[in-house]
Amino acid sequence: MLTLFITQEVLEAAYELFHKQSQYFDALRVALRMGNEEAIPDLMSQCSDPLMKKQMCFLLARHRINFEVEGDDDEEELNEIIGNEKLSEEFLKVAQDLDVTEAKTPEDIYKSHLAETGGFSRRREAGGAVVDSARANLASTYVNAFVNAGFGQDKLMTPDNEWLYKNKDHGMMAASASLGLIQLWNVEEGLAQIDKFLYSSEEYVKAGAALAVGILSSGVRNDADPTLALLDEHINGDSHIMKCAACTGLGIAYAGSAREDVMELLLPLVEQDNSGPNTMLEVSLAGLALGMIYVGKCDDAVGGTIVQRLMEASDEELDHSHAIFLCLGLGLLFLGRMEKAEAMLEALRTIEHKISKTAVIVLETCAYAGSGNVLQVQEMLHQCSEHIEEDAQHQMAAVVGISLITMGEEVGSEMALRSFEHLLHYCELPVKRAVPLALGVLNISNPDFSVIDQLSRLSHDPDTEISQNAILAMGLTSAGTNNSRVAGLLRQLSEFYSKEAGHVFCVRIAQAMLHMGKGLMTLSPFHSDKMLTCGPALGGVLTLIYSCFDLKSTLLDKSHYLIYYLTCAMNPRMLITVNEDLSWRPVTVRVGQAVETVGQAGKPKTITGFQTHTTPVLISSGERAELGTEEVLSVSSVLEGIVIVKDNPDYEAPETDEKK
Amino acid sequence: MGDTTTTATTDDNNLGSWGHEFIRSLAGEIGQEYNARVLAGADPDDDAAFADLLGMVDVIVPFNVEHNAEAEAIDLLIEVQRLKNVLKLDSIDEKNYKRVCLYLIKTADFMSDPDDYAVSNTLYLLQIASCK
Repeated sequence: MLTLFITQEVLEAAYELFHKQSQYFDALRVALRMGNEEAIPDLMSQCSDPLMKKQMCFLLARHRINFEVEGDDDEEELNEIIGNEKLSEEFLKVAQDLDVTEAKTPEDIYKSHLAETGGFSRRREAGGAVVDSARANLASTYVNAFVNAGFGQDKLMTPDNEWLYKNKDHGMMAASASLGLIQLWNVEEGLAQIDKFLYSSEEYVKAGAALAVGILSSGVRNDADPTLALLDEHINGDSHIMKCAACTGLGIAYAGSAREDVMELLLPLVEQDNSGPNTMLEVSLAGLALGMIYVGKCDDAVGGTIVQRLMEASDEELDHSHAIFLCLGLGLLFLGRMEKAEAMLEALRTIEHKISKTAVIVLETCAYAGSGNVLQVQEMLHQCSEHIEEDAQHQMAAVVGISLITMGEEVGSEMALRSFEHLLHYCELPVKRAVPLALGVLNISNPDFSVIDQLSRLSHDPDTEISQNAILAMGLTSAGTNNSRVAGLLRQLSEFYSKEAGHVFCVRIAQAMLHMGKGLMTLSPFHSDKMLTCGPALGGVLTLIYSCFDLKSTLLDKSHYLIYYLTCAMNPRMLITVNEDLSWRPVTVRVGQAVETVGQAGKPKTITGFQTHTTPVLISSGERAELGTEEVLSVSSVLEGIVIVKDNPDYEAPETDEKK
Repeated sequence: MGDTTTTATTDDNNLGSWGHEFIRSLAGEIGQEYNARVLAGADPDDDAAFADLLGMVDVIVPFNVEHNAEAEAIDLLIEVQRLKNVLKLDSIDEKNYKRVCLYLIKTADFMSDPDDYAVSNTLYLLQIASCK
């Protein structure tokens, strides 16, 4: 029988123990796990080892914590690390080391020459079905942007402006915004390239450029703070599309930073109520951006404003297809904070509109994200048991919610998988439509064989929405892995659905995710040995998931740029070992399947079936690395991202070694 | 729980001679007895009501930690709701803190919220009642 203990107390004990042993890095991990950010300054000031401090800053950077070190000898350097200022440089060096710097074209990804009907199908189509070339171009824009993300060069956008003008309206916006993704994390060079579009006479190009500035500096701190400086005027401008782009840009750039100046800029946008046709879109996007910026922070001002806006909104406004993003913004604000969302839930229940149900479930599931709370899961399953075919958006949110609650914990996720099987058998269409999405959330960047199998089956479902969602979910589960099995499946799907423009677009986006960053990146919000969940990353993925609830009016319509929220979830999945001065130091490491060692006595092996590599190496989901040499000691207890190593004082070179 | 065992363990520190299997079973019984008393109305925060049990716990936990059974020690502390005591243990040092912390972090996933517990317990009692 489990007794009356709560998670926090147990973690508190672990924190104290690490603290007592002066293991500040591990103590920091536990503190972040508890969501106790107040402990950071204490830990930083108590830690006397400069190397460990640097390593702690790398962890804060990966977790996207906006913390400023003050009163330290290495202040500048430490802040640089937390601000991810060198991330682009390191990423490009890894790319060079792995020899993948060559830019890829969308055709390199589609590989249509491998398709059985190859060039023929297109020729035949030209006469029959109308070829939706605008959408095909749009898809290519996204594929190009995601595949070359962070590499600083590509073959469509950087050489000249030709590609930009092959698109129209929102396509143009996506195209100019894609520059931001290509130059990801490299603020200075990226700005130089985007600058010329910022003053374009074409409204959409300008909006795209504004978005690009935001994407570019996702998770990166810069003293000049270009995003805020450049987007400020557009937020208060008159142009609708500029406002939308600026909101999204700010949301992406400052995700997780809890910056008050940005909040003050966005709050009036949520509050506005001059009932123009576009108002609700702006309100929702601003609400979503605020949720991303204050993810998991439970800020009263943000929460109060969003709830009040929801309560005062007219029925037409709440009927708007994007109103759900306002709910998601509120949910993200309380991400993983459990009972802190109680008061908000009560307020949401008083809304007399069908969105009330959805909002409550979105908030509830976000608040309990990653908690594995069984009672919440039962509650969500209960929601799904009602047989309704219309106004069932809340059921979709409930299905995705089950994944959200159980994610990150193996036993729970496995049980969730089983219940999804039941949902597919017994529930109405709306629930079924959300099942592929839920499967995707459960396995972000983790192409598990059986899950891909299940999704592949669903991707051939006669219902349009189930199949489209399944296709996108395949992209999500395989994001950044270059998984050849999924690549093959997606190629087949692009042929199978060659006459359905919507499906083809979904397949392209899925392919873009699959080959994201040429396989050097991951979307997974989990890091540090799966112990920590990065809020902005989960928020980015959830934005995509919620836009899949109504693909026809989001991704397949004009607000496809919401896909760019994935930027917040993109992280290099590399392992680099560096010297004390942060210069590279290649060492041998063993990378293998992670083994659970909890509760075992002695020094059990943490990995199995390993291979030996020299850093830098890529770490896939479910894998773990350990040092393969005794020559050095690592400062970090977890080998992920950038790890500082130092000479082992007890190391004795083997005498038989001829080189020495 | 027999009275003889109670006196034997609290008086002596010769737990090793009783065998590890006995300690394990004793720890289980302490947990059961503790829960029984809480359900019978004893205040979990009051040490006096559980003095005899906690006396044994204070002997068993360090013994477990010293003999590579950190997991069992923590389980027992969680069972008697005295996890804070883990910080007072001198036997946790640089050799075993990693195992202790790893176990704590992993168990944290499976801890329940007091309210939920109350709910599921009532449900359980209701189900038992309806079965009869």
